[in-house]
Amino acid sequence: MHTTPEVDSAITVVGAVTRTATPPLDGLRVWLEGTAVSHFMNWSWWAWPTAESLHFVGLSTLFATVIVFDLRLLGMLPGVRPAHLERLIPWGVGGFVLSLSTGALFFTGIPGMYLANPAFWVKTLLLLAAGANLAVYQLWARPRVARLAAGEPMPMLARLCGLGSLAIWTGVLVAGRLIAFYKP
Amino acid sequence: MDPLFAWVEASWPSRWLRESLSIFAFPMVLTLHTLGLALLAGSSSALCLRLLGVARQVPVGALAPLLSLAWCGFWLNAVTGLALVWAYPTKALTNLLFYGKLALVALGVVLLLRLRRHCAGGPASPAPERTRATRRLAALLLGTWVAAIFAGRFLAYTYQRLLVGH
Repeated sequence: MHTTPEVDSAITVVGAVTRTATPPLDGLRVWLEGTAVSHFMNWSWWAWPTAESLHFVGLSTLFATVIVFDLRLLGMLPGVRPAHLERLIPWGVGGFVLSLSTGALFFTGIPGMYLANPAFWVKTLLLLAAGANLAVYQLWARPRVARLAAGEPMPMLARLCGLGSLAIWTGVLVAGRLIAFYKP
Repeated sequence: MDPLFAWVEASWPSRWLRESLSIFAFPMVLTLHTLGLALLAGSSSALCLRLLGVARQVPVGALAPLLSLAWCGFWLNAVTGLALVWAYPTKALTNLLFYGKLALVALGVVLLLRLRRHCAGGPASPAPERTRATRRLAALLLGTWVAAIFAGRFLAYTYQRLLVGH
């Protein structure tokens, strides 16, 4: 049949166009958009602002812990024993979990907007950097900080972790706020 | 009030904040307002948690620098907040919730000023978390910031008019 090659090539072209036009993680987007949570986030007038408010309450709670810890690592708050601050950690984790779960609600609401938003990806990378910074502190700096005698200066690595943490979390906040201004 | 709103909205700082496509206009002011919130609510919450008995081995007096940081956050937000109102005076001042937020922030400031007295005192002074008044003050301040955050966020969803002409 002499028409077959033409049909074949047409199918190939359509297939190629579909492939290039499909953004990455599109399956995730389609699935999330079909969930009841996604519909609720878009349909209810109060769901979105309530989740946003809780997102901000969470970030404030996280910052409460981050600020105290990092100031101590940077040598400020000299009257505080670093080991005594560890009771604050569950509050920081709680704040982070609150912000992460409300963040997941936003993402479920309009996944396509987030996937195509550069500020969202910068924020994601910065969150990974915050995790890496925390891992470095836990593995190499914390054992030495725990043995620190009163009045002894903070080890350089611990200071760097504190400075890095402050910078990274500030970056997370800035990138998060800018998501609203990079809407595709 | 409309003539006043119209005058503010026509002024160049207001127009620049609203209409400039620069990231340094409205986006930066709003970002700094969020940063100020994190500083103010974050620093004072750490202090409140301590006064409520979290990490009680930490001497309260040693956390006093957090108060200065909280004030930095407050002044940053007073300035950026004024800029946000200057950009959209009709949107803010015709929304009752805006006055509710201002009242909550004012309450927070009063509580923060009173908190200062509870953070003073050397090692000889009684452990502050033992006094009921201190705990009540700390819990009230935490609740006030949560309420102020809710009020602030809902402002973006509850306004009746955006600009005078609308």
